[in-house]
Amino acid sequence: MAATRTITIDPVTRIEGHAKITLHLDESGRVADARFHVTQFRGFEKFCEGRPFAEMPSLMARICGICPVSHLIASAKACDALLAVRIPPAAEKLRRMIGMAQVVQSHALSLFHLSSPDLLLGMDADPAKSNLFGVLEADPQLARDGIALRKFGQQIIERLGGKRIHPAWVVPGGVSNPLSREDRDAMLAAIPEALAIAQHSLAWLKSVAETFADEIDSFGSFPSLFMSIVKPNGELTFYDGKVRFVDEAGNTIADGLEAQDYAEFLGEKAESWSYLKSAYYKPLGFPGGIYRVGPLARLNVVQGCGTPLADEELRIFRAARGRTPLSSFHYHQARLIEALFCIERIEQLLRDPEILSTHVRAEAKPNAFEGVGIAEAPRGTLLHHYKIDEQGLVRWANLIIATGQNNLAMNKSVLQVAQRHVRGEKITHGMLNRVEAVIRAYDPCLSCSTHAAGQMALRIQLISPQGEILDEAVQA
Amino acid sequence: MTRALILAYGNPLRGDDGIAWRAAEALQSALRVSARILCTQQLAPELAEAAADAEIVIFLDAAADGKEGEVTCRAISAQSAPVRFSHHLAPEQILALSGQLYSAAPRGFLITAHARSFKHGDTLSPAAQKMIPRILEQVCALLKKIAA
Repeated sequence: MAATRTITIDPVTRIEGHAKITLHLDESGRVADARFHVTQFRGFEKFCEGRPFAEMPSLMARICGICPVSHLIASAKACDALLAVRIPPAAEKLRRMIGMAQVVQSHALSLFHLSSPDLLLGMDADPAKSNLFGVLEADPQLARDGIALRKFGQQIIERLGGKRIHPAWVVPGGVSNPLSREDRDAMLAAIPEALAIAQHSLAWLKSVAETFADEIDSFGSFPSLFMSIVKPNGELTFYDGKVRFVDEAGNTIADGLEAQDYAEFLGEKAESWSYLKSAYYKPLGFPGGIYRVGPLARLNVVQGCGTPLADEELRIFRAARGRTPLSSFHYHQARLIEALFCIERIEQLLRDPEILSTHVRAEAKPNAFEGVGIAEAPRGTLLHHYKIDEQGLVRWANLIIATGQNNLAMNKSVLQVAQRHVRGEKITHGMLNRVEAVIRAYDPCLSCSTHAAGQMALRIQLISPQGEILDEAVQA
Repeated sequence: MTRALILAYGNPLRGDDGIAWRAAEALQSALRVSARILCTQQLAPELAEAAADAEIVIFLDAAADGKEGEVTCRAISAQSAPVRFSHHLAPEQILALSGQLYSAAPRGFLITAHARSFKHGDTLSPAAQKMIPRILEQVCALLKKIAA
């Protein structure tokens, strides 16, 4: 019988939620398999059954404190489908704006607060320094920029939604309140600083990426499909569009897919060792239908962004990394290009006179028993699907979350990093941090993807061919 | 006039953990001195900027330890202890960030309500409700002392 050993990393740190990683060694001490386990469960899809459908946006927003706005939007769009209404144009623009504000704040959190210690201090840095305070010591301006960019997004959310976390402003049929001239002007005043931060942060990231040249090719770099929604002209969108898949060369393999037909092209597989289901592209089966979502996937899928500064950065990105960059290390740069795009697009929306319209909600009773809503959340494509009865009570709900769609890719990335960096039966900090860092590149939100509760944590176990735990590392 | 910031933090949907928010609401009408009041679920790094604009920062919190029903107040100072999860900081770390990022050195105080009931729900226990007037007294006393 072939012998194997396992390394477990538990908890995984600087991600949203609980996880552990097990690395299974073969007899020669090389990593033969790696598993990213998500060890929490909440079951939002179940406990919303029996609730009035109009409550769904606010209920679903509670899934996550980082990206509640994305859940609000996808849920409200599913409810719009139940009402069978076309929401007022101003409401759609306001929804787009709050969605992009959240992308900016979430991307800033991911890059500056969670991943910048790896990028600035290196993968072998002292764990006691690998945090925001370590970044602050090494580069105070970078830390200030991260805080300021996140604040920019949060303040727009607060001005539009009334509060930064769990605003209930996006409702079935539109939004609950129009935008005031005073708030519009205050948001416009913040645009120049946010643009400047996004631009010089991109310059910093491009220079620092060169120091990781040796790591990039084994940092979740492999062929896969990429998926996102796109505008009819193929440009980047976070609010509305049809689903497109491209392959590793950027060839479109499926296009114009409707959200309500998702069951025809998306499959989900549950594994006994994780609460996080793995999504796959159905026509290619499991696991051959592995695909990625999120910032890198969106930029690989689109023809262009549609705003001048972001388009120029996308051109530079592709010139340096190819039409379809495959390494998940590039999620970081994609994140900043998207933040730049969102700031530009928010400014365009704020300068649109219609944004101050007071007609922001369509009123109707349910006109359909089933509705699907889709949007691009910071971490990738988000889909809410509800069925209701004649009283408007939810009878069934299904949520397909970005992190689940990246699950196969995250597992493959962990395996690739571990195969390069794990040697012997001891877990070194550098190895531990690289395995974690590749997961952080996807910015997984485990609270969202398992609809799970609790504090973030990571455990890594190194397991022998006989199932014996050879070494264990825990970070909390 | 002293620039004061009152940072009330906790989860208003977890019973007595919402006491800081309730106290902050009461302070809005009770305060006779100028103070900026912010309610938040967690202490995130962005709050360092608001803290840097103040001369005194008073943190209001609930805690499950200590003697139930007691309200304690202590001076705190900047400490940049290692953190693994950077959107949930301690009051001392907010002060440290305000100094390191914005060269500010506000005085800090932490007023803690020692409670026991942290179940799901948006109402305070009777014991927690009784602590609100004492929190207000402590805040007002601090502000008067600083202003004097």
